[in-house]
Amino acid sequence: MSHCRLVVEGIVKAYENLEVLKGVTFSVAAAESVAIAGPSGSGKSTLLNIIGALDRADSGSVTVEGVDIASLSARGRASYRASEVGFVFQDHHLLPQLTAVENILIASLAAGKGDGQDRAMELLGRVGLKDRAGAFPAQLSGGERQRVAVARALMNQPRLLLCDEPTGSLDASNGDSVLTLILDLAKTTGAAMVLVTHNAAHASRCDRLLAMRDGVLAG
Amino acid sequence: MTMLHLTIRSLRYHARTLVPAAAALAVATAVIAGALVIGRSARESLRDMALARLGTTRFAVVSQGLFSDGLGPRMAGATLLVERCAVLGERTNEVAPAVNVIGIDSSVDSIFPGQQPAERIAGGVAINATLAKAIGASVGDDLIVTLSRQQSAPLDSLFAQRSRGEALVTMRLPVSAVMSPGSFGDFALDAATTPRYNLFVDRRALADASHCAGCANVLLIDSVGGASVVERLRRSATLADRGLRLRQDFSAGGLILESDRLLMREGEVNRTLRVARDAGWIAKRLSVFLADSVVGRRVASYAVIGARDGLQIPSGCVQVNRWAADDLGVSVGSPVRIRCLWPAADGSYRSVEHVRRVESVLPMSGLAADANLTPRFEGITDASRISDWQAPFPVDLGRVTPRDEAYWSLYRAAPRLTATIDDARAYWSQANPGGDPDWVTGILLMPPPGVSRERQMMVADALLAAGLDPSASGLVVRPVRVLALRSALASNDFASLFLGLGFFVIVSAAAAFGLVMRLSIERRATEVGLLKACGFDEGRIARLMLAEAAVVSACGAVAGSLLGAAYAWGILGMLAGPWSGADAGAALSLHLEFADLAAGGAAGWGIGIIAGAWTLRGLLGRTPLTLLRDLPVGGWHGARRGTIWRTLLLVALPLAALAACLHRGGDREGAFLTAGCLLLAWFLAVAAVWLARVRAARTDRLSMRFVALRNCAMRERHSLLVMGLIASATFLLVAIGANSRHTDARDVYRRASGSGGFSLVATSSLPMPIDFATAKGRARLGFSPDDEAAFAGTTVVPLFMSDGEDAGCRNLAHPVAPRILGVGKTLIDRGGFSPETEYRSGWPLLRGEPLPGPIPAFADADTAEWILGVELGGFYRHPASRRPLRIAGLLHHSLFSGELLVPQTSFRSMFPSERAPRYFLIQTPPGREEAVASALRRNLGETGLDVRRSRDLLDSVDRVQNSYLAAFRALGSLGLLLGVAALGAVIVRGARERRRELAAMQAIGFGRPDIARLLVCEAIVPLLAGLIAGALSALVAVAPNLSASGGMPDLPATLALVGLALVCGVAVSMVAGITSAGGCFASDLRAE
Repeated sequence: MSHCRLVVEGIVKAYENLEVLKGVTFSVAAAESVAIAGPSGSGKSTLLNIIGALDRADSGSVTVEGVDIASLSARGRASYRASEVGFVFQDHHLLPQLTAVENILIASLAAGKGDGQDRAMELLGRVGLKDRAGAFPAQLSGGERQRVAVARALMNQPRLLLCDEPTGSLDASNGDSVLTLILDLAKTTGAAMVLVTHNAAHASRCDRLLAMRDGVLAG
Repeated sequence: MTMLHLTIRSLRYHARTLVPAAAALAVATAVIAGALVIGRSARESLRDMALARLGTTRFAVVSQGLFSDGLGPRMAGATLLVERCAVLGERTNEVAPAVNVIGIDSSVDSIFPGQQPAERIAGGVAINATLAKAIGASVGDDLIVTLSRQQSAPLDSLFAQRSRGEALVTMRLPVSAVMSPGSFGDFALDAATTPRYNLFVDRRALADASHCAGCANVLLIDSVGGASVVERLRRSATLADRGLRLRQDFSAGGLILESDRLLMREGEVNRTLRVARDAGWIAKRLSVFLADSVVGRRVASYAVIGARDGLQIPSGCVQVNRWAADDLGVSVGSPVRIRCLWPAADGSYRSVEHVRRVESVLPMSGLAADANLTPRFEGITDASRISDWQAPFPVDLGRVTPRDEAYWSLYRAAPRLTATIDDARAYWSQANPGGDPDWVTGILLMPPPGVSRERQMMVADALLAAGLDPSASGLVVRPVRVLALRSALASNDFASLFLGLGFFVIVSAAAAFGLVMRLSIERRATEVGLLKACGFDEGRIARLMLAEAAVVSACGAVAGSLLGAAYAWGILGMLAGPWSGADAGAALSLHLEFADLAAGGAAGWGIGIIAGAWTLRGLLGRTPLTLLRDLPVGGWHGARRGTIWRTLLLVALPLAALAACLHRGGDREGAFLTAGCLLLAWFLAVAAVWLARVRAARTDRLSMRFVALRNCAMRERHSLLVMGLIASATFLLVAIGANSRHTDARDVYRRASGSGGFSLVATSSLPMPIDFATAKGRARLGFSPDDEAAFAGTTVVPLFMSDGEDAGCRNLAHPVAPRILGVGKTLIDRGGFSPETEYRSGWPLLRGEPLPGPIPAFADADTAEWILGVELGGFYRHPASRRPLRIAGLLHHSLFSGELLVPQTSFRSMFPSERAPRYFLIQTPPGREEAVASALRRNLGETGLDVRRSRDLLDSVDRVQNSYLAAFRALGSLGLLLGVAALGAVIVRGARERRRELAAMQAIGFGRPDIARLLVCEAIVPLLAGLIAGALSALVAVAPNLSASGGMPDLPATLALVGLALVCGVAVSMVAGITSAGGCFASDLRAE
């Protein structure tokens, strides 16, 4: 079981004099799932993007296993995303020219390997799409595409799983099943998980719920 | 999963969208590869032409005079007699001037193996296809060939036959063969590609007809080793081959060396003196001339006067022999008036008189009564009586006294008076006043002790044959093969030329490639964002994208290389047809080499890589977040920085353009072109600022026009790129249209124009000892009163002209020995042509320079810059001159594009065998040139006078430039169409990218026609803006041309092209817009 400790301290982020995050502080332990809920425009996704090194904070720190990601170079941040983070987006963002299994392997390639066919197939099996390994995204349903995206996020056994409204584009049934999948896989791999959602029911399924309102976390 | 696997998958998936990019790059590659193929084809064609003309000839021995035809066998060479002539086709009555009549024998068969030239002329003449076409002759037709009779005396001397009947000979000969192009029929010793007329005849028959039996003037040698040919010539050439002969002078006890040409060249004289004196001989220069009368107390007529070295005769004095003293009734100290005649150009004779004082009276013995001092004058010295003289000048027998006849009977042509060397020089310099003419008629050689009288001739012959350099006598060895190949290879670089002409197509195609690649990459922004989010660093993503660009570029480059061959074939076909002026009529054939296609392909591939790298700029710098969300780049901070730059440009560019326009001095046209380019950049900067304002603008009342403009502004980069492409193409097309040249009919009468106010130019292939510049001359030439009437108000300015190559753009090969014109006082005083000279000195610069300075020369400005590679004040080496030519003046768009102009005195030194003018500038009253031309052709056409309108001459030069401009215009139009095609691609691709947006508009209630109108509107904005910006900038750039030529001669063609671009652009926009709007967008509103 991997151990991860995510510590977010005093994150401030503003866009054009509009403060989106006003000093956000929280932490997540290994194998813990934390939901961040809040209305649209509250800064949830911004916070997730900062944790995932897709964006930079104006001030504050994000520390993963003691490493402040703000101190990393561009290459370091890429390496961090490749090896430490698994991201699941609302839009699946699968590469249309790759099959399902190849879309999972792309994460391995990002980490400088490119191998791991067995693990990719295993993950596909875990998400119930082993028989669709050779299908292209255009041949998959919305739910199936999101499942592939979840498998991709877990390919490199990240210590941190970040999910930004992963069920936002899915119907209720698919959304529930995908969330169950994410939670189970996160628990199994021991990854710390941060889930951004405006769905209260989904938020309640996590270990902890934090409410975001006007750039500040409560709860 | 590997990077290669990902690359291949990406290429296969996006292939359809990348094909247009490959196609665009194929166009660029085709132009590059094609230009290289065209360049090689031109070089190889010229090389082949030059070699075909020479056969196996490697060296040519060429004489400015004649040598005996025995030299050929001694040197194992083919013997030719080459002259100029005019040819009249008896059946068609068509005349061809400037024909080369080439006398050949069987020795030339080895030079052109397999062609049997000697057999082809059996029973008549063989002519080349060009001549046959010019006079409409075919086998069996009779030709009248008119050529100059060979004379020993210089044509401009008292002793030369000047009347047409005596100076010219005619031959009637049947055509036995017409030679096909590329055979020996096109024989030439140079590589010039200007059309030439050749006529081949039996050498001996030609020599007999032109009164030089047993003579030749060209040897063709096909052996290797230049040094051995020179040495062989030195060993083989006798004195006779050098045009020299030795004569025993028993009175003097020595020998006299004389020239077949009457006057010895300065080089021959100096060398003979040196060789003789070094061997212990006494050598004295002799000069002899004829006085029409000598007046003392009595008159003596037709007295020969001599001069020689070694006499201490004071200046202004003469010595007389006893007979002359008694005859004239003079003694020491008496004055004598000496009157000499000199032929004038109008056929008359002018007299020059000098008074001299008798310094001494010599007894009638030794050199004072030595007739051997006088060279042979045909018809004079061989007559037994003065009254039997067959002289070319008028002899008034009424003045000949019995004493004159008695002297002649006893002493023949022994000089009665002995003058100073200066007086002799002054007499002979009348042919070339101010110059340094030849004046020595012989050299008296007195042997050293020990050389008996019997052995003198033999010893002297051997001494001089060994010691005299044949080149001093005008016998030179030319490595013609090497020179011809060098000239062909140094010709206009067609590769660079067509690269330049096609430059805009290459740029447009590369820009279109970049645009399509960028559209493709932008469409995949979320892919790139995902890769970054997965942890791919920028380097790996860049390598992935570049690998894709490299593969696409390679496909385009390979296709383009193959297309390049077809492009080159097409261009060569156009050069043979509508653009025939550009290759001056030279037949260029396709020479395809893999190396050229490969080089073009490599260049195209390189362009693709660079363009591909450019498309990645800005994309890679974006954060994964902006890519994933497909947000625009830059943010507010970037926009502010861009605004600062744009503001600076908006202020600086027009100021810089204004400064360029107001700049005085230097290249005015270049300054305006710079101003035009700056203005074009300013227009684009204004467009960028305007688009930024549109992007930021808010409105209370929305309209489709506003939405269209906003959409243009949101895609600023695409809009500016398309606008820039179309503006640049329009700029080039309008600028080209203004640069095309046409000679206004009124211009030829203006003295300041390139015609100098001369409406006609006449050139004669045969020298004209009596020219038609004056009414007297025309009368002597047989002009009728009606013909004379045509010349009312006409001025004729004669110039000397050398043989040589056309130095201008009508000759594709690089000229080795350009044609030279000798300018005399008449033109210098008259002026005209508005020469650009140093220090604004004008034509007086051609009055000459004292030795040993460089010779001042004028040249056509375009010829100097583009062909000869010299500028004003620069130096040019001509093989006929030991002194360099200094380009002291440039003539713009002038009649003299093919020649260099030098002072007449210098010309006479460079070309001593040219003794009479052959180039005539004719100024006529407006509208009278046809009448004058007709009169000239009627009277002198058959003797080789070619009369052309100045306007036609200028047009022939303009045709070359205009052909290049037509090619540029055609290729530029292709570039413009590429820009329009790129516009269409932007519309279609943009519509695909905006499916959801357009679908939403449909859902809101906009119909397909509204959407089509929107898309068309978005396209027309950059199209119209580009056309207007390009046209306005171009008009500024070409303002000097407009003011000079009084308008744009090619305005209709230019307007048509710009209009065509507008129509095509609108059509493409409408088609693209309507078809894009025709797609069903409703499905795009659903989840994917």
